[in-house]
Parts: sequence; C-alpha cells; structure tokens
Amino acid sequence: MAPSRERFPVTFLEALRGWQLRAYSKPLRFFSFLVILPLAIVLFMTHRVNVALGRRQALHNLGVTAELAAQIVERTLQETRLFEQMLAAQPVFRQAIQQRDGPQLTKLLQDSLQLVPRLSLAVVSAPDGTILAVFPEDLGVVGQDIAQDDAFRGAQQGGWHQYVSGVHLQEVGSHEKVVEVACPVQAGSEVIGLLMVQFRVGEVRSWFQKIRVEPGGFLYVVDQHDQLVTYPFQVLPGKPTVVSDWPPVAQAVPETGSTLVFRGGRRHELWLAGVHPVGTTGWRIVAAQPEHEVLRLLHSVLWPMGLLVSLLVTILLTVSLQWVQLQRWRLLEEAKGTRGPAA
Amino acid sequence: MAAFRRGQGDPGTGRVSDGGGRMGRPWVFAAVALASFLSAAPLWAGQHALKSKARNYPNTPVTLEQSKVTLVETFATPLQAGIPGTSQSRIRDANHPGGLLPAAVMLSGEALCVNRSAQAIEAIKLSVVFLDAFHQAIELPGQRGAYVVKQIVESVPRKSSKVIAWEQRVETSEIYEVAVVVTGVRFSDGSVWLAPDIELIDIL
Repeated sequence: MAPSRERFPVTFLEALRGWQLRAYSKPLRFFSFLVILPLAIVLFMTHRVNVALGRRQALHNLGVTAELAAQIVERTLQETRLFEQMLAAQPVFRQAIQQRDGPQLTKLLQDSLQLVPRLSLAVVSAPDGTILAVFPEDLGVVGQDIAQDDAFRGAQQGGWHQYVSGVHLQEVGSHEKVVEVACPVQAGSEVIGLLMVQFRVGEVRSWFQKIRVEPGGFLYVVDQHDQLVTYPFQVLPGKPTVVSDWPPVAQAVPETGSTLVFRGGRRHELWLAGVHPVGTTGWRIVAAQPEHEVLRLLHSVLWPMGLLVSLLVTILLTVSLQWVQLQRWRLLEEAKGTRGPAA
Repeated sequence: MAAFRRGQGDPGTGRVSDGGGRMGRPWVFAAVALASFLSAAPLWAGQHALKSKARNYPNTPVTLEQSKVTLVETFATPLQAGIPGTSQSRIRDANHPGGLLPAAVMLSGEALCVNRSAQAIEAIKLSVVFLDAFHQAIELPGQRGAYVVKQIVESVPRKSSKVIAWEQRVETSEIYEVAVVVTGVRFSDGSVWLAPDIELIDIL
C-alpha cells in the first residue's frame, strides 16, 4: 500500500505550506512560533553576543590601560636609575664615598636632588649598610645600619645590581608609605657604596593619575611582596596591606600581561581586570572594573527593547485570544443555526 | 518740592521721586519682599549634609553605623551669605574695611556606636578623614596626616549602642565625603584597645 501524500509530504516547501495553512487556523500557535519565539531568540542572542563582545573589548581595554600605566611607571623608574648612575659615575662622588666624607656627600646629594624634585630623600650607605649621608633631612640616621632593609638586601642579593624596593613606612619623619630605588656605586669592579633615592607613594600615584578607567574602574599598584603600593580607596594610612589573596595578584603574570574575570568585592560581583608587570621590578599594575559598569550601556539599550518586545507579545496574545473566542462563538452560532431548522 | 513733577530729578540730591508718595504702590513692596526672599536664599545653603561613611577595622570591639555629617557655614552676621565657590561673604563691614569676612566652616557629625565587647566603654578615639570628590584625602592646615583624631568621652554599656556626636572646624567647604573610623577604645576597667597599625582600605 502506497503511503498517503498528506501524511508524508514530498518536499520541505509543501510541508511548510501545509503547516502554515494549519497554523492560520490556530493563531496562538502561529504567533508563538512565527513572532514570539523568534523575537525572544533574537533578543536573547543579541544580549549574549553583546555581553561577550563587551566583556572581550573591556578586557582588552583594561589590558592596554594596565600596560600603559606600567610603561609610565617603568619609564619614570628608568629615568631615576639613569640619574643615580650619572651621580654615581662622578669621580667627586666616588671619592667622597671612599673617604666617608659625610658633609661632602650631603652637599653633592643636595645639588643633585634639586634637579629631580620628585625625589623625597636620598641616602648613601657603605657596602656594609652603614649610612654615610642623607639629604634633605638628617633625622639622626647617619651611622645607622640599613643592611636589613629591603632596598639594601634586594640590591645585594645575587650580586650587586639596581633594585626597586617594596613599599614600606618611612621609619623616621612623616611615617608615609615610600619606595626606594637603589643603585650600587662602583670604583672599577669594586662596589664602594649604595645610593638610594626615595619616592613617596603619592608621587608614584601621580605618574599615572591622568589615566582613567571609566566607568567605575580604577588602577592600583602591587609590589613584589604583594603589598599595595597605591590604591585609590585608602581610608586611613598605616602599614601596607598584603593582598596576596586578591585574584589579580594571586595569579602569575606573564611578561606580556594578562586579563582575567573574577568574582570579588563587598557584593561578590563580577570584575574584569587587566594586569601588567612593571619591567623587572616585580611590581604589577592592575586595572580593574566591575562588569556591571561595563555592560551598563548595553543594558540601558536592551532593557527598553525587552520591555517593548514584551508589550508587543502581550498585545499579540490578547488579540489572538480575542480572535479565538470570536471564532468559537461563530462556530457555536453556526452549529445552532444548522440544528435549528432540523429541530 | 511740590512743583517737581513725577519722574523728575531732584537737583539737590540727584534722586528721582516716584511721585506716588511712600508706600503708595503695593506691588513695589511685593517686589521688594520677593527680592529680599530670593537674596536671602543662600543663607539656607549654609548648611548641607555630606556623604559619610563609617568604616570599621576587622575585630573591632566597637562598630560605627549610620554615620551622618553636616557641613555648617557660619557667617559673622545673620545677613551675611557666602559667595558661591568661596568661603567669603558678600558683606564688607566697618571693622574689616580691607576685605570680606571669611565664613567659619564647621563639620558636625553623629554615628551610632555599637559596643560589641563584653565590657562597658568609657571613651572612644575617632579618626575622621576628609575626602574630596575624587576620593583623595584632603590635608587640612595644621593637621598631621590626612585625618583628625577626636576623643569622645561617652559611656556605652556592654552589648548596647549609643549615638555619639563630634564637631570639627575646617578651613574649606570643598569636602565631599567624610569617613569615620574607631581607632581606639578605653574600657571601664582601664584597658585600651587600639586599631592595628595597618592601612584601612575600602573594598568596593
């Protein structure tokens, strides 16, 4: 027995046409499949695609921002290293260190620091860590031993080299957070002393203060010991906070930088971050931004669109239901009319 | 002077007579009253609420909640109103012929202090931080560091709460936000709790 053409249509077009004919008589199904469902799918897909694109673009921007800030910090630190090298290369300076001539060293530091006003302090120590001279404030530290300080140990560790210290509180004076750049002073192949210059963290912050992460984002700097060097939301000063457990700090950062999405903050919300190392200092710059701020513009467009679609769907459903009721009523009327004369 | 007509200037004084006599037109008084009302409006702007945050160190025996801060600009006379954007008044007076009188700016705050410890409290040390609109601490003249310390002598029984108030005179009215932190507590038995010497940061 040959199969019926009605039950097994031959072509797709015939099947579609058959479905459409049947669907016209059932408007609820017709609107659901041809209007409501496609609209919902389009809206959902638009949202998903835009969220993914917005997130990817924001991560890229954050990565670039972190890289830019890292370059600014690295360049400024490099200028400082060059300044130190120039000072350490002066024969007068080397001679004063060799002769342990404190007043002469102080005068040389004074003359040099006038050229670089961003430096808050300069210290010259002997290779054993004894302070020989300090400028601008003596503060009674000349003769003290700084061999255990991070700047000294870092410069000495693995052979004398230039080193950027971690952040710490200034032990004398204003008790502000400071960082040091240390540079060994050599006479031939022999290290005869260590020159260290100091920055306040406010100065470090000012280097990249013009970089904005909008909307709702910010930049912060973490040192090689996972301590906050600068953070825009410090309420009260004190010893630097260790933030090893913060996701952008916990993960290893490659030389080219990285991006990440993590959940955190007080409200445990999604954050996007770009992380970039500052040269070989061990420092890293983090540019962070809450995801909801990134997607705010998208949501401000999609929410009204969603509401409009919902309104349209509601109107269509109402019209369809009215149409169905009307059809039923007509059918009943026709049935009554058919039965009437027979009765 | 009856010979002078309406609107004609007085040659002796240079003044112009309205010709209507004193209090002749009620709308003039209405206009004057309205102008006085409008010009007095800045007086009411001399006081406004600032954004305020109570921050607490972890494991602090006392927590602050519901912090409120009001900035009050006080002028030398009741009629003085400040020039917008400055801390100076519009009024010159005989005692200060060379310049304008500066306004005195006073911050007054209050917060609910909750004693979470098992002992009664005798005094509290508050650190008040003044922040600008960009969340940068404002260093006030004559103040060491970017915050001031206030000592509040107020007894708070164990496991109870009390509203504490503080006041601070400042030199600028450009303070946007104030953060208040408890950094020390003196208990009734004489023992003292001090906040750890670690920077306090705002986790967003």
